[in-house]
Amino acid sequence: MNEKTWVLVWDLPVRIFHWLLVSLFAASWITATLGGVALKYHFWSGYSILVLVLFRIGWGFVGGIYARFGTFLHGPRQVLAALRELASRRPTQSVGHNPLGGWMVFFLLLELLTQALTGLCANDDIFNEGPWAGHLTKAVSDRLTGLHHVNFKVLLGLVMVHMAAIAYHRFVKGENLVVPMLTGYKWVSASVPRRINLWRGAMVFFGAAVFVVLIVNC
Amino acid sequence: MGVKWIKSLVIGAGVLVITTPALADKAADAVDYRQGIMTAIGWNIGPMGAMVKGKIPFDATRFAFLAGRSAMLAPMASEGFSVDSKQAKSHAKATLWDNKEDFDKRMKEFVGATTKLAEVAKSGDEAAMKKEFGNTVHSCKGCHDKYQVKD
Repeated sequence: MNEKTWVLVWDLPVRIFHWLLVSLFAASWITATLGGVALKYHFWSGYSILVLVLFRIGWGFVGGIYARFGTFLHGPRQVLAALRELASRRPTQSVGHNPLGGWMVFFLLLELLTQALTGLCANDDIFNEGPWAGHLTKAVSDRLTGLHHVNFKVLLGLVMVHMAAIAYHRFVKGENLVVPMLTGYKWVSASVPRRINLWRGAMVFFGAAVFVVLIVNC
Repeated sequence: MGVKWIKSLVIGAGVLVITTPALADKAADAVDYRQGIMTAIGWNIGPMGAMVKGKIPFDATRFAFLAGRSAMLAPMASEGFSVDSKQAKSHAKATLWDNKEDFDKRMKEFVGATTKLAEVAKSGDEAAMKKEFGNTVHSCKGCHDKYQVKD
């Protein structure tokens, strides 16, 4: 194994994505609970989350090495190995996402996408409706509204598992995962990755934003 | 004796066969009635919501008219939630009938909110109307979240 060094595992776009998503998730939850007139802000928050998720999917292909799906999505053998490793009280040796965390990222993105898309089709049966609800029959929109509500519970469950895992790593395995998500750096043995191109990140983000503006207004 | 017993059984069954659908019809009618009222309320709330959101220009006169109609319609809705309508298929959750007192209280608050909205709307004070509209739809949502099935 190489000597340990500070390695940039979470590139700037990933960190901005992560913490913006946390804030918007909270904002969406609060504005949905308030409902009524506040639902206007729920819509804005939802569109922004859709932009973020589409950005992250794009960044999963062209982003920094540890941000790529190809790097962190592993087959069943590695996942099983990671599960066995989970019981040990040692810090994991993985640099980016471990095989379990990688699939968590995948499912969180899938759930967020489902949540955003069903939201576009939803209605509140009072005076708010998503931009796509007008293209659907009321029955279909109602069905998707129900799905939007159920899926939120699933999403919230995943978020809680995500946070429980972070607490588990912190207190059982003695590994702080929050600080690297803030600074970007982890003290690990790995070769230092190539510098990422922030312009490319900005372009993927811009593309996602334009795409969402278009689909929201159609 | 035996014949009489059979006779009353046949009559009893006949009565049951005839009245059960009649009762079911009555329950379904109540559901139709209240859903009609709710649709009518939505019809009036919708344009007010569009004005509050700025999707259409604010028109105080039209707003007041719509608010007045909502206040007229609101007290009619609770009639359709008679306990005997509980057997009919509807969007009402089963818990509504277990918490009928809470439900009735919320309905009263809703009626109060629409009455106040209609009063405020007479003043033509845009900010106050928007604020009161927020309270009214908040009252809608409270009940929908708790007692309406989203399928």
